[in-house]
Amino acid sequence: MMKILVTSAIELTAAQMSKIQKAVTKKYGSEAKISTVVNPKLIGGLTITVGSRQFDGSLRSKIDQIKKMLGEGTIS
Amino acid sequence: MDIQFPQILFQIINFGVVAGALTYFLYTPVKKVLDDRSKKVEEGQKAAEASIAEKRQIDELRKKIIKDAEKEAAKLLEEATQAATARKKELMAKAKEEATANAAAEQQNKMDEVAALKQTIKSQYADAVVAAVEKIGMSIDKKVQTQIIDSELDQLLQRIA
Repeated sequence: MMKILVTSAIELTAAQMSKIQKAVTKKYGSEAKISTVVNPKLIGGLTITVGSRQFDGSLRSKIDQIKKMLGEGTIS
Repeated sequence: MDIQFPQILFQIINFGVVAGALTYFLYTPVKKVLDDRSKKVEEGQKAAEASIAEKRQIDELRKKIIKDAEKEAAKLLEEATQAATARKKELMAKAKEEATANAAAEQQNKMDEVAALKQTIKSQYADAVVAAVEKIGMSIDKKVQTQIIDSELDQLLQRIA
């Protein structure tokens, strides 16, 4: 059975849950189990963990990327 | 005048005996002594000449040895001088090389310090920007949050599919 964890900055709406359910069922069948977690530290957006793979669509990761780019860029 | 032949004969015989006795007892030993002395003198002279010749040879040898020693000393002095000059050049080149390396290392250290300082400034700048963005992010309202989730969700589901 495939386990799917959805972590979001705020609680997902019913429409959003439905969308996720449809996509997961299409990909993995009806045996996939979806669980949700709210984590304000993501600031915004969400992450989806499928098995050992993580798909990150959070604002936190984008801010981290900006921080890394600023750290590696040149200051004129 | 009466010539008496027996007396003349006796005198002749007498003279012969005396002459013979003198020759035997006096002349021969004296001659032998003189001959011996003469021989000794001659031998002494020969020995003296041989000794002079030997001394001359020794003098020649001594002069040759001194000359060779002087040549050898001059050669050693020349070699020592050359070695000292070469060593001096070597030490000077090494000192110059070390001084250059030290200067280069010093310059590299300064450049590294500048680079580290730049990196610190960049990090602090990045931290300040991120802190500002986080502060803004924390104040996003629910409606906007939902829109953000909708936007990201579509992209994520495409990647999962």
